[in-house]
Amino acid sequence: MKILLPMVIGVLFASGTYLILQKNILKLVLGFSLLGHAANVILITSGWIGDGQVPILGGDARVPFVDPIPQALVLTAIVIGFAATAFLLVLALRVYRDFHTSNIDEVRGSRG
Amino acid sequence: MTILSIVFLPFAASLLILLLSPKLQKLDVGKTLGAVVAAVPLIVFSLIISLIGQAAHTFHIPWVESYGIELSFLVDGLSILFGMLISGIGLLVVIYSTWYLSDKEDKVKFYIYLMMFMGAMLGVVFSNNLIGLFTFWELTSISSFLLIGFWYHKEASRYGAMKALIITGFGGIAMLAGFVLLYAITDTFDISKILTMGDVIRSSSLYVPALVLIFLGCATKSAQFPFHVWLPNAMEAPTPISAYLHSATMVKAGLFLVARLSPAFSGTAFWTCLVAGAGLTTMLVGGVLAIRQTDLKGLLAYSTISQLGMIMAMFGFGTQYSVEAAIVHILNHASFKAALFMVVGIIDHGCGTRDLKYVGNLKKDMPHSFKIALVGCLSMAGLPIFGGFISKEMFYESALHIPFVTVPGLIPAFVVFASIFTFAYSFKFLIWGFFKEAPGHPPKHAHEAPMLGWISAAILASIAVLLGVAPGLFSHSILEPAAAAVSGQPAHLHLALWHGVNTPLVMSLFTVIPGTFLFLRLNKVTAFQSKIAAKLPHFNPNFLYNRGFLGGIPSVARRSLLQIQSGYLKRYLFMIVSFVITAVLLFSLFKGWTLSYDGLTAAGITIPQLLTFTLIVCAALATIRFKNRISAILSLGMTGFLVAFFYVLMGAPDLALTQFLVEAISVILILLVFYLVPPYFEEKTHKTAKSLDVVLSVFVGVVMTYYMAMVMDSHFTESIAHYYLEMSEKLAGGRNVVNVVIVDFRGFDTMGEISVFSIAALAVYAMLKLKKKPKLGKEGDSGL
Amino acid sequence: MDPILPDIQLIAILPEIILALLACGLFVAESFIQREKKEQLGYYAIGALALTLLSTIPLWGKEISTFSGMVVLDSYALFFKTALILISAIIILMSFEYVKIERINLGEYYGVILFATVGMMLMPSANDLLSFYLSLELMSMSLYVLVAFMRKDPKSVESGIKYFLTGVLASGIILYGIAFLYGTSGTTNLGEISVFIKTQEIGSSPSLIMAFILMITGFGFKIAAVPFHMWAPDVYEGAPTPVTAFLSSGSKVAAFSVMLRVFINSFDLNSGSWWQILWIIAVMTMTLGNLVALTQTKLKRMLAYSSIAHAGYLLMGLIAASQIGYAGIMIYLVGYAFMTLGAFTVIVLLCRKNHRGDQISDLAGVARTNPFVGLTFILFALSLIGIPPTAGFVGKLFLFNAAIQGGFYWLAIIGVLNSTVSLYYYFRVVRVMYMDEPAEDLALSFSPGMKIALGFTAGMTLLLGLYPEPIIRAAIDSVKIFL
Repeated sequence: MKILLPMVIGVLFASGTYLILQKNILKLVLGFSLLGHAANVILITSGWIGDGQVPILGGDARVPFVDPIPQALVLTAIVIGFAATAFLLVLALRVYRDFHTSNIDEVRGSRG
Repeated sequence: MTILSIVFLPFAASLLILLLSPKLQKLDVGKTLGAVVAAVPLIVFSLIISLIGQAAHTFHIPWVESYGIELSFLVDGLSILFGMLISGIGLLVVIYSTWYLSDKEDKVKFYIYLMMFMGAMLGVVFSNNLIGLFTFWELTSISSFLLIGFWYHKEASRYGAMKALIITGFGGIAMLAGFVLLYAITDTFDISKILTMGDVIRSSSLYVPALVLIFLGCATKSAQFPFHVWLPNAMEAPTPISAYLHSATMVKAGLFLVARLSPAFSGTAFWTCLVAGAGLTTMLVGGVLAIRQTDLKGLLAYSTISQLGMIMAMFGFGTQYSVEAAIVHILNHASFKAALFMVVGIIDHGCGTRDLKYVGNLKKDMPHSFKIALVGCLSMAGLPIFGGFISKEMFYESALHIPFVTVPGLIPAFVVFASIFTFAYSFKFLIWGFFKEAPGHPPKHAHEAPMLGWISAAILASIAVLLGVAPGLFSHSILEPAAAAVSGQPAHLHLALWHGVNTPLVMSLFTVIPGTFLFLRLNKVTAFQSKIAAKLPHFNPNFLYNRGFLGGIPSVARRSLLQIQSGYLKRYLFMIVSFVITAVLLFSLFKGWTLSYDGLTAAGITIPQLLTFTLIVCAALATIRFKNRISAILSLGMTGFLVAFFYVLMGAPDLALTQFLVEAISVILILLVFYLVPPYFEEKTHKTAKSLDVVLSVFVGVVMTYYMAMVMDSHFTESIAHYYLEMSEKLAGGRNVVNVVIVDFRGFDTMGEISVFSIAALAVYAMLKLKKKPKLGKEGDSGL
Repeated sequence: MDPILPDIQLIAILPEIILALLACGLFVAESFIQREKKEQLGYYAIGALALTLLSTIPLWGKEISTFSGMVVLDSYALFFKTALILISAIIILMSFEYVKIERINLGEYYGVILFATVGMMLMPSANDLLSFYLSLELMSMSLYVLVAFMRKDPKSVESGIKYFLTGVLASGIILYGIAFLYGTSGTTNLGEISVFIKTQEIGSSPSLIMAFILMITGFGFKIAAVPFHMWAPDVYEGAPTPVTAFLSSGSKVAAFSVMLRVFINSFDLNSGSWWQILWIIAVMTMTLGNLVALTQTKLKRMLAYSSIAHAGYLLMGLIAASQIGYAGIMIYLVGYAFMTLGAFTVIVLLCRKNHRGDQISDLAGVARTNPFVGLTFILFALSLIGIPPTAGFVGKLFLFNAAIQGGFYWLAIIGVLNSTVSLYYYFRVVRVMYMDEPAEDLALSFSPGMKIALGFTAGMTLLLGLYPEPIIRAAIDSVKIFL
């Protein structure tokens, strides 16, 4: 677990980073989503204590609970991530309308 | 209170003219405005006269109390001397300008700026607080900027204005840094307190940097080599301005500050080396360049540079006698140089040019100007019976006794050598201008100005004579207190033309004879100078300013900028990610962390976990690999669902539920949007670019893996969660702790979430509402 | 038995609640107002801000910590809240004419500005990683929308997408930083983190260093520090000018306000080698910003780079990590906000129908036809350079003095050299205003709103320079919480 989970996170990061460096706006959308997952997984992992119990009271009192705080954080992050994705999609539409392309490299009127 | 009215009267006048300017511009003000304005320096002058003889005193108005910054003024011999120069010459310049400025000129603006400058300059010399001084100092730079650019239609004016501002402004800011260092040493900005702390300052480790930074301010303002380059270009200003700002007053602000801070800084070898060294170099460079000039104003500009260097050198010597000599020469220089500038203005008006190639032999056509120029040039050359002679003899005398200089005779020889040039350019002005016939002809037939034009210069010339024949008139009341304020000891001047045959007199002889020789061979010497200048076009501080500061830095910045600021979003993202990775790698290298591999086993993993992990990895990689858009989007959805499943395994069912729902909606949205946008197939990316992307991504992956492994390995202290676990049911009556935390304990989260969400919804709505097709670019239009 | 509710003192966020409600009201009102009368929404927004400002009055002097310590109200937070309300009001004043010319949809525009203000006002109050992240997102989300607000202009869309994508990456990076910080300390409360860091002596643990790098990256983006600044010039250029002004003032002030709290609590800035990274970033930021500003011909881009440079000066206070340094940041931020808003107001003046008016050459001769505009611009330029008697000087005095007292002599000297460079490019603009020939149709779009905005910013720039004592005292008192 201690070696596998970091590797999964690493793969999520690598593929997300690769995707956001592409020209196609669609790939950017996908890339940011993957990076979002990676962030959430990191957050959840920081509350991990081995074999914990779901933080709902009333179960076996001897088994320790999983830390509920990262869960609250991740909930917030998921919702905000969704809002961001929606906005990004609309921006992609606008870019297509104004620039007639979904190649982000052609969107460079300002530079220098 | 007198002191307040002295400093603020000119400002008030400036403001008043500004407020009345719409009305004044309509009225035909003619010469009346000048006459009214002249009252201001006159009042100021008489107020300053009334201060003479009073003991040094200060006046405070609080400003930034936490730093001991205040608007406070110090009245002593030095400030009175400068105050008299500023207001006295100011008065004469205003009179002169009423003749000089034709009715077409924007006189209103001229007097607004001029009064602003006068107030600022008075502020500089009377300030008792370094920050107050700095404020007025920069204000003089700005008003000088506006006045040099007075004839803004000329490109040369605008260039000169900007150059003066940049160089003096740079010095000013460096000076401010020096003041802050001085504050670090003395814990005060109060000048009169600082002056008593000389020993503390000189023994501080910050002495050298503070002195260098402050001296940068003085050297740029007083046009010391190599910062002198702005002064010749500043001659594009109207002549009254050149006479006032760029010879008599503003350029002496640097000398003033050196004098003012002398008691705190002088008396070390470094001081003498820096100040006298800069002064002597400037004196020579200015003189050598002055003899080349054929433009009379240019000649005076370089001569001013040379003379400023000479005064700076005297302050640098740092002896009681040299300080006295410097004070005497400040007065002398102001009188003869301002007079000569006014004469050049008269010549310019009378002949339509001031170039010695076209004007000459003006003795008969301009009789009054000739007499004034005669006095001015002889005083400048340092010949008896004029003031210039006395101060030059004192200069020679002081050069004979300099502390910290071990080579005997070196400095006296140097000053004599430099003075030869002074002698030569003074005679060039006089003889070429008024006796010798010029090779060309002036555009206008030369004629003398009316009395209003030459009267100011005549007054200055008579002062130059008085300074020679009756120096006692000034010495006791004005010069001695000033010298005492600089050296910190009571001064006793014995000014006289004849001191018997002594070393300075011999030195004078060694100046006059080679000087005459040089003057007679002037054409040959200047031809030689031009040859050298042509061969070494880059050997010039001007080149550094034009090509380096104005040309070089921006072009280098521009070129590297287009690389960084390419407009490509991709590169921006790349930079951010690579900075993070580089910083992390560097830190890891320096700290030399290693993993303890004990805990890093695959032990304890269950089959569902292993399965989920494998599938997440596969789905994530599939998102990259798929060329087909729908497959790529679906693999993203797959990853999301698997992550949700992972949450279940981690004991977070609420999260899993949310993640499932959000992922489903996201995938549908993405599919929907890209249904509207036609597919885009990436053309082959450049191979190196692509491999760079791959390398960076892999690095990110590896570094994150490594760090996560390390973090999971280390244990942090107990989480605060137990509080929530205990209190959840007691306080909020809920058993699902995550829900309780979100809703009850930290309702703030939810409020923020809702706000962010509604903003995003609003944005989506606002963006989609724009149904109207936006205007196409030019290409689109031409297609129709 | 009735469950006892946790003690939540809503009064701590009273101004934010009022403003958020009024902003919602604005959206509602928008749909009921006739098209011709929509301009009144601007006055409504001003009124809303005035009411919010009034509601801060009873809070002065209070120390409240609520929402389980997620939100605090202290004089530090109130200092920034007041400044942010004023900034937002100036932005709205300068928008009156602009939205008419650019035909921007008024209702949403003003409403989103108010929401962004709510986010900004929450930021200095945030005392928990979560509340900090949320308020940051609230502000950022609103700004993303505002940047892309111009209908007709593809450049606006371009800046929208550039700002959004880089911004999302930065937010994500901050979130990773939060995760690592939480992983280290086991709490999200800044106060508890601070105690943990100081007692455990884990200054160089890998996860703390990771957290620092990630946090400085994310914040570096928000304050436009090099090398995370690349979005700024492009976005500043394309966004509607009042929004650009908002980005360079409000967003920067808010980001710095929360950055101070987060960094001082989470990383023991006085120890370790944190200052090395900050030092490099500060020097790069001021040098690059100033040198590149030299090369610009577009006024908005020039101000973008100058705003980058100012972030560099501000970082000096964080490097010095002393009371003067922190107070210097506060003082400088407020002064900077007013002077930069003033400069942007002058740009908005130039904007006319079918004429962007964002070139430096568009200012030719303005000072001769409008002496008042010329004088105010000189004032702003002096303040931006840091010459007395202006607000910029007082701030710089504090920052430079903090650097010198902290022993960072080279930093101070580099700062001085940079100020000289800035002298050149600001006065190049002054030269154009005073000494170039005006274009034929030089009609500035003056409106009462613009006059108030210009007068107020100029007045504050001068006032804070002439009588800075109250703000200095407020700043010095406020930063005591960090010592």
